[in-house]
Amino acid sequence: MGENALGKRRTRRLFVTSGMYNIGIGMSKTIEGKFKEIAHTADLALDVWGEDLWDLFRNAAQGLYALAGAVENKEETDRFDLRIPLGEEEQMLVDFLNELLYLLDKKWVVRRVEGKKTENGLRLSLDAARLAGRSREIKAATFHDLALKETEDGLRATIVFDV
Amino acid sequence: MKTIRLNDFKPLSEYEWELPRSFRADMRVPVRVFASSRLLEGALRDKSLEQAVNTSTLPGILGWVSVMPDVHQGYGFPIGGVAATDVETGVVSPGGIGYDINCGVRLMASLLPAEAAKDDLSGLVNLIDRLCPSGLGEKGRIRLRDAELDDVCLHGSRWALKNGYADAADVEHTEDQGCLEDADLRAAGARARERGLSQLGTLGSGNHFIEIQIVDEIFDEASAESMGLRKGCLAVQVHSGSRGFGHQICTDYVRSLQSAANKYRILLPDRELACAPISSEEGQAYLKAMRCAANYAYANRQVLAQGVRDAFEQVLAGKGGGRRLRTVYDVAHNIGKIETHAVQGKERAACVHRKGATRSFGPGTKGLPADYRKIGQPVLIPGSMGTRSWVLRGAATSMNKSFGSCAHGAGRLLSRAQAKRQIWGEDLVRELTGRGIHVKAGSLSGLAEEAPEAYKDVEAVIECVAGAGLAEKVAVLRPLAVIKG
Repeated sequence: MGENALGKRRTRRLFVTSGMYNIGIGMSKTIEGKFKEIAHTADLALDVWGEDLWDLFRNAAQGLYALAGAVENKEETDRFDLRIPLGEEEQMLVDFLNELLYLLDKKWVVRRVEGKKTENGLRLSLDAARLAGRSREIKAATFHDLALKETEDGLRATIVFDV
Repeated sequence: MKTIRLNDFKPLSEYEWELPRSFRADMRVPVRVFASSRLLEGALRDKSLEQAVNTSTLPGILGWVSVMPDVHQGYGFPIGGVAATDVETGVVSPGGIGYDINCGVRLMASLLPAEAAKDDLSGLVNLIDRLCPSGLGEKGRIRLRDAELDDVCLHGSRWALKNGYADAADVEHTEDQGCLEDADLRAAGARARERGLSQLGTLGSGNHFIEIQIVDEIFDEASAESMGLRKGCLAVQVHSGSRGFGHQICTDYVRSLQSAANKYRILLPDRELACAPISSEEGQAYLKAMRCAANYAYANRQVLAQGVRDAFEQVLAGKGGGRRLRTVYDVAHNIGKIETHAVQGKERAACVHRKGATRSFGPGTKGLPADYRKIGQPVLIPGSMGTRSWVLRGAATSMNKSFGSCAHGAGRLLSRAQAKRQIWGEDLVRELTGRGIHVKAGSLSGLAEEAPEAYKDVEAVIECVAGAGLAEKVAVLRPLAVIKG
């Protein structure tokens, strides 16, 4: 993988390269499970855990929807295709979350992601339900202090959102 | 990272502290904090000053990084920071302007005594809430077509004037007359354009608000008179920005300028400082897109202001002609502008990044409306919810001290998570109502996050900016009603 901003080189590939991954994004009204809201003076920050990068994507998405207080209407659904260019894992995570924020603005909540890693990046198919309401607007997922850390159980990241 | 301590600072005056270049090897200029020793100590508790040090490493940075007394930790740049970069050798950074491009404040004032409208506040709040939607549920009142979005981005407040949402005095009393030149919508991505179509005239959530206020106290009669502020009369403040349009432009350029920084071999201590030389194609593209969002925000606050004005006209009909709301001023506090400043005795063209900082041009500065040329521009510093807001005027000394910049608010103290743990939205509504303040909020937990306890004391911030010579006190406003998304 490429160098990150501080020049540290990654040694391990965090995505399994073959196969189709299907992750369901369960809605959670409380901030619990594999993500936790942590203190950040101005904005919102999440600590997120995952067994691998797909799992981290799922938990980060669930955390984002919990922070936004998103409520869905399952009766109206749609599907969106998304390509995320290959880059550092942090970049791809931020790209994914910012995609969810864009869709949230268009009043869609992503419920399920089918994903495949290709030579050029990630090809994702997103199943979404109509947003019925939300309590907060989140402007963007940022790179601030964002670093994926490998732990004994998998991966961990702190993501700061601008609100 | 090296820890910053109080004794690393050299005091320049009671309200000015300098962290010298020698503090960290990669600093190109010092960091100057405009604060009392107590607020400076407070700022050392989060990463805000480390972020100011990181900012001081950017190529082409001029003079010093200015840090305001309401500073708090942001992402990349601190919120409450000013960085001026040389237009020829310097960089422009989207992170130095923020995701909510041209987030800012509009103040309107009337000559109607608050006493005459005390029974109408509830009706006013309900109608303003309807005419100025938050955008979280329903979309705005205006649905733009592609060509109209182009017009909004090119002309800002002048678009509002042409379309019946403004009068000529509104435009005149908006920073930059409500329009930054050299905007080009082609520099904004398709997603940004799409988000811009439906959100004009919406308030947003978070710390955005509309507040009905009473002019509580006047410190400078002559300046207050020039601004149309009369003790005991009603005023209204609107705090909003460029909505999803600006957020998307910032998101897109923080991403794309990371590769530009690599291309131009700029070493970044934090990825959120992503930047490009101002003279480069990438830097110019960002500036053009950013100006579109800035103009969109000027138009947005103008449309919101017109909604408030319509509500006043409707609800207060029969209360006399003094109900007409006139714009005192409209200021941006997340913006980047090309300005000329004296640096070490030489006039330099600079890109002044103000992130969580208000312009505070002093008397005689070019570009101010005729009625403010002698007194300096109005500087609007809202307090936290339920507390007083301040109107000041730019001081001549701010031009040399802080590139003509001042604080922008009270500054957060507690994280949103801490605030929610300590404060219940219901209790807060009860407390505010008990003090005679009407509250209309989209979300009670969102309200708790914005509780006064989550912010610094705005009065302490004002003492610092006045003490440091960045701005002079004119008047103070007390809230009567607050509307939040």
